[in-house]
Amino acid sequence: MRVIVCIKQICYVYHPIAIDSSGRDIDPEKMVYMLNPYDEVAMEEAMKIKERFVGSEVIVITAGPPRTEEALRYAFAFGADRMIRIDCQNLDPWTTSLILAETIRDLKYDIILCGKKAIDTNDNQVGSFVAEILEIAQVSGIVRMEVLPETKKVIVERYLGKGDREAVECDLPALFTVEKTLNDPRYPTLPNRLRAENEKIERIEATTLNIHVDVEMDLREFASLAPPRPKPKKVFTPDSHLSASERRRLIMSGGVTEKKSNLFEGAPEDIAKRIVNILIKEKIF
Amino acid sequence: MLPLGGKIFLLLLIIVTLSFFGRRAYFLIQLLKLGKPENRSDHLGKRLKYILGQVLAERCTLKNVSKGDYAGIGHLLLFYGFSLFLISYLFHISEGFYEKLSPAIFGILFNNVFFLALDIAGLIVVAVILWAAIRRYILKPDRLEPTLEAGIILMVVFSLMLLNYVVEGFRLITETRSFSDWSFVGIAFSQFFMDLGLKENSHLFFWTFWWLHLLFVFGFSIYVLYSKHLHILASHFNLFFRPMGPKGTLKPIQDIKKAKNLGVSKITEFSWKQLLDLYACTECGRCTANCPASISGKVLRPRDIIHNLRTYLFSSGKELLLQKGQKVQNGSAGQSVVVGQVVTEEELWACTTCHACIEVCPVEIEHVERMIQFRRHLVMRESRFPSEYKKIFKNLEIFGDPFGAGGLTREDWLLGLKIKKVYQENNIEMLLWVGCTGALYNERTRNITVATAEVLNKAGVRFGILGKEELCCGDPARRMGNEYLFQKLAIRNIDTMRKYGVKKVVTFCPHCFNVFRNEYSQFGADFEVTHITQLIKTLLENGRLQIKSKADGLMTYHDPCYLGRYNGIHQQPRDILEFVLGSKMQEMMFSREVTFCCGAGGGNFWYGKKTGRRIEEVRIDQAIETGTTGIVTACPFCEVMFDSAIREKGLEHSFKINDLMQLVNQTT
Repeated sequence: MRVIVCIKQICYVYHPIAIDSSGRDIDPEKMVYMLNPYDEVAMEEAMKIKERFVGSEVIVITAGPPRTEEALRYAFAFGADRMIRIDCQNLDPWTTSLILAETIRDLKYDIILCGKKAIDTNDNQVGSFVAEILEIAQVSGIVRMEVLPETKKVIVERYLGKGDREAVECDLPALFTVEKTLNDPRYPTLPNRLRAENEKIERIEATTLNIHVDVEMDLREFASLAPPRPKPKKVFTPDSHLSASERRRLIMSGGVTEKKSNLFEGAPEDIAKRIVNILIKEKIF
Repeated sequence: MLPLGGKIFLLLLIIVTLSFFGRRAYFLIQLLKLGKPENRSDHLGKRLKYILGQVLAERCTLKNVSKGDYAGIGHLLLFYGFSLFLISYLFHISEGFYEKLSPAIFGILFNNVFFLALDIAGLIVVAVILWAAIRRYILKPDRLEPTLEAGIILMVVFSLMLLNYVVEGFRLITETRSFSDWSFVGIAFSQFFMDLGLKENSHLFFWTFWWLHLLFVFGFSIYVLYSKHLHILASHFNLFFRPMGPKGTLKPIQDIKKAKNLGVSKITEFSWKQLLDLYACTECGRCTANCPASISGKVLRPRDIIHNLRTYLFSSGKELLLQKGQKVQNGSAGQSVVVGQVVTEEELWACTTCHACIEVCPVEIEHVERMIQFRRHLVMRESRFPSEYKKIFKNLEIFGDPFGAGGLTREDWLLGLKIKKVYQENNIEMLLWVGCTGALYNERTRNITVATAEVLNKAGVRFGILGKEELCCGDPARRMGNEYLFQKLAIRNIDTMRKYGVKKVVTFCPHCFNVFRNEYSQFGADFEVTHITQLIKTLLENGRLQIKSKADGLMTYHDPCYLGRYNGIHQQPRDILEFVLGSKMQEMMFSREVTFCCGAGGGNFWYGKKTGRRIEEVRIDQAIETGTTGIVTACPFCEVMFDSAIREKGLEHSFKINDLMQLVNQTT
């Protein structure tokens, strides 16, 4: 099995950040970079496939400037075999997808894994664009994956909302974008990190790729910048049908509904019995 | 003196004993050599002086007596008494080869004195053995585990005393010259035997019991090497090779990028000293009895860890030596892994690194370092650790603090305060190191920082802060076993200090303080660090801080592990409280060197799995027992733990958590 994982080094924007002198971008001195958390999940799934199927190979790819190599190496430290960086600046999703797809096109692959979205831009587009450009099947937002190499098929599950899921059977080669809950990404071991530090990164210039658009032009235009609205403080107004004491209680607790829960403690056999009783009582069984 | 046949037999017996003893001793030493090399031969003079104090002056056990554990007195008596007996056995053996204890050798006065002393010693030893037996089998204190081995040793020692008297009694009957007129117990025994009419065959009885006594002596000397009584030989060496650096300092992994061993997973990856620790353990149980994890019902029991490792070492010893002899190619490949098997992961993560175990251990077994070594392997090589820790490690890597708040937020506590930043101004006399908890955790901890800054301003101390250029000191990473992450953070912090020419640092967080003072020098740091209490005490004493009104309320003080036990700073906070409190501070039972941990250390601040009781609740109960209305402490972590304990108990209105610096700020 050959698995390709597309990763992005994101800028963590969920902390107070400073705006640079031009007023149009984040101050680069204050940027905190990290590997996109969804991409970590994708890497972990790729490693699971590699560990399950002997002789598999995992290739990590990213498109970006030299600073993105730090994230690339971190992803590689999960246990990948090759890492490739296409040198280009930070670009819009479509151009990025063209670049990634052209690089992947020449590689033989069975599965491509991408994060569902990057948590700095939150566009949710690159995975789908790449699949379209490569003209392969895609399933987005997977939360479970089962690979059946004999039949060259994959069965994945995805959320439909309100606890429902659908299962999709997909032929390979295919691209999947992953949800956070697909797995729990590993913490790379030190030997793997050191290996990643020393391993050669294959570098490609974006301009050498066979792409019909200008790979040095970001299709996005900066429109305006405004400070975020202050978070509104919710004032809870309780239902007037309730009694005064109940309304007072709701206001004081901020209207938080407490989940009805029972915490059982004790021997496993007892707990199991009690849980079964509840399941029967609530007609889940 | 024996007939010739007897002498030959005695000689053979000695040779046989020596050969059994020698073979076993050789085996034990070879096992030690399986461990990694470690240089413990520095400060030879200091080391010698230390063991003279610990062993000859019995400070090893007396140190616990001063903390209220009186069992050490028994050991002291036993040690001196039995040492005398060891000398006497030379006489007993020589009796077989030469004239019976002839007065011509040392003079009759010497004999009288020596055997009187021996008689008295025998009585004392018997009394102590009886005391020990009563404690183990009737009183049954928790920390003593009456194993078969312990029972055998008691019985053998008792038998040796009894046999000595019996032999003495018969000797006095058979001996025609007077040679020990003052040994009243021996005389009593001889009188008793005469009354029984045994004078007829006293020679026969004498030699029979003489041989029996010697058999016990020789047998016991071999048994020593096969039982936990090995401590009578190993403990001297263990104390001699104790760590001479600052207490609790963890050794770095040198050249971590090229290091073959990241921590310990197999028993031969320990150093020889750590293996020697296993020999020196007498299973007294003081470690477990003082361990906050054990006391609060966790799986961790330090004594069991030592016991299990020793059992494993001995039982697989032959195999390990065989593999070493065959020069197995991968170093320690092929041996079974110890971490996760002989020592379980749950035990390892429950340790708060509070150091109480080592404090009370009479032979100073290095428990904490062992735990960290296992953790290093689990974290760095296998990535096997509690799931809560992954976020902490990643936060440290990406944001430079365990909470993931980010560098820019480190100055939020300042609000309106005007404090110089080291990256903006040049001549900063002293750096106030805030630390992650003080800057980022919650309002309570940020208030500590504000109070500290305000106090320093009141005292006219010119100081600055690193602000957003601070990174975590690295203590959580190192204690959780992530040595690589710790080194990265430390080296960057040291570079920052150098960049701004920082020479003097003061901090209020004991963890930061400990790491700076004792461990940063491993990476080339050369700045001076004091804890805020040392500084404040001086400022109060020389009047630069004036108390305007004392604080109300009856309070008790909690010694933080990393401030008190690790760095010996017990008195300064107490001196400050003398100035600050209206009513005298009430001491808790477990204070100063035997302070009881708050439960936050060693990564446990973030560890989710809590079996048994919460350690912080156990400590708060101890505080409430003093009858006070509040607790004062000098560590942000302790305060957060106690805060949560008080809330769990619903006591927010009746028991207050106070920070020492906030008290100083309120009263000056």
